[in-house]
Amino acid sequence: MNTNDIKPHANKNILHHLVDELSEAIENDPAALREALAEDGLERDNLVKEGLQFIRGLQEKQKSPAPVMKPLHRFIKVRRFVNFPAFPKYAYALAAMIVIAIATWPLIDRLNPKEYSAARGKQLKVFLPEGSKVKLNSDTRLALRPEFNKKSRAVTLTGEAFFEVQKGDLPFVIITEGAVIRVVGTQFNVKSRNARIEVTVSEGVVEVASTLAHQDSVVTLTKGQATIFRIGESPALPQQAHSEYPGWISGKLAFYQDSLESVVAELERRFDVAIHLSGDGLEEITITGQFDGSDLDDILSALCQLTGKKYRKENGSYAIY
Amino acid sequence: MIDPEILQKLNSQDWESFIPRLVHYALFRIKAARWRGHQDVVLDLEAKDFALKAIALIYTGKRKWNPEQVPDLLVYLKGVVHSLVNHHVASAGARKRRNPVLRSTDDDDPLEPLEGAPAQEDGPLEELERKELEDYLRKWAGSDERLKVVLKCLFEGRKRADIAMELRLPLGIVDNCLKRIRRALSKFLDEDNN
Repeated sequence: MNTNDIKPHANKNILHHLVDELSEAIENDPAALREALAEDGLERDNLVKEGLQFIRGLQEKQKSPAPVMKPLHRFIKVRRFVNFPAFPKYAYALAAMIVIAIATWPLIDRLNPKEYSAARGKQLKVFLPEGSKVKLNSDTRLALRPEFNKKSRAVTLTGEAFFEVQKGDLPFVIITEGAVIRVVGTQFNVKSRNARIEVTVSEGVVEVASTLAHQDSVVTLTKGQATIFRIGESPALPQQAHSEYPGWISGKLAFYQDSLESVVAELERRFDVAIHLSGDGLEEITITGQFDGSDLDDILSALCQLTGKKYRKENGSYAIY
Repeated sequence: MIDPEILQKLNSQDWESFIPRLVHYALFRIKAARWRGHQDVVLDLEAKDFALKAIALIYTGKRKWNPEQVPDLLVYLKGVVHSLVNHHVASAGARKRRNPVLRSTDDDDPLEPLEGAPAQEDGPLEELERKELEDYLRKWAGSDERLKVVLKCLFEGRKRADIAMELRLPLGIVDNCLKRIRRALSKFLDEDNN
């Protein structure tokens, strides 16, 4: 067979295709798969153990609302056997739906977590039912858990927010990707973006635990302390927080040894623009400093002055080069 | 909140088998994504992290698995891993300056609904990549005729089952060739990335 006339196929990138097909071939052979993982320093059994533990955690989180929904389903099934007078069946169906909706609305309303979100370029102040206040930074979502203020005061955070927690009997718990933060009454900032978690305490005491780390570890932070860690790692030992951190709640932008890339990502969220980095060595630059967060051009000028780079505006986006 | 029926289906999956397969896929995807213009990118997430994140996205309903559209959950999970890896590598920055042409296909929001694997069209860069891969693997295959014909079929875009049918070979024999090719490709990507 002549192998010199290989024709390009259509529609699919060749590397994409090779990865898909070659992976499939090895995945069907457990011994070969084990060996392939070992070539890259991964141990199959450990991966399975850790993965199953992770999935059990996800399953646990999904369990709580299910028992409440069951009686509702049963109720609906039972009603189907009642004999009604001969009126148009759609009228009965409509009436039944209205009655059920009115009767169950408070229950459904209680089951659904309340969600708040600040879009890119916006910030949002939220007053929680039990008196705590939360300020959401740009591109951030906060959801109250269904049992909020009943069994616990648990919220789910995606992004960055500053919390002023009202003192109360129930602990206030923030669940974010890779970490759980538990407090009683205090003020603190939680930033969870790009697999990096930062918790900084302004008042009171905060406990921070990783949910994905290999070992159980909890770090306790007091006023003026911070911990920074990556998802999957244990929280770092408390360190002194930067005096201006978090600047965003007072309209400023404060960075402490942040990569230029994460600074740019923050600016993109704050001003809802696209900023591209183009040039050698930009990803190695770290930024420490505080900027007045009202004018993007001022910030970019200052950044370029700090880094010895330039910026330009092109087609509605910016480029640092 | 995730649909209870989907949750039940998720809970009944063979996760013990899925996890290593998904991690292996993520590992390969990372190597491929880095090779496609990101050799200098140091990732802060490992293959395992991408695999677990894909599972979490489905369990939390952020990625909605529709068994009617994609019956095999592993196929769907691989699509999510692919999207996550591409997005993460692209956002690491290097692509922006080295390979702006590819940004339009790889900068997808990883939380967007996914319908199968992301489609990519062949362009001039893809052609260069194809040639580089092809040259290396042909040279590696040397005079082994069976490897050469399997490679030819692969580069024509055929799936492993189709290759077996086309060459009238048992699937196990084809798989053995593909395993050898996988190892060679993995080594090539590693060497080129480092």
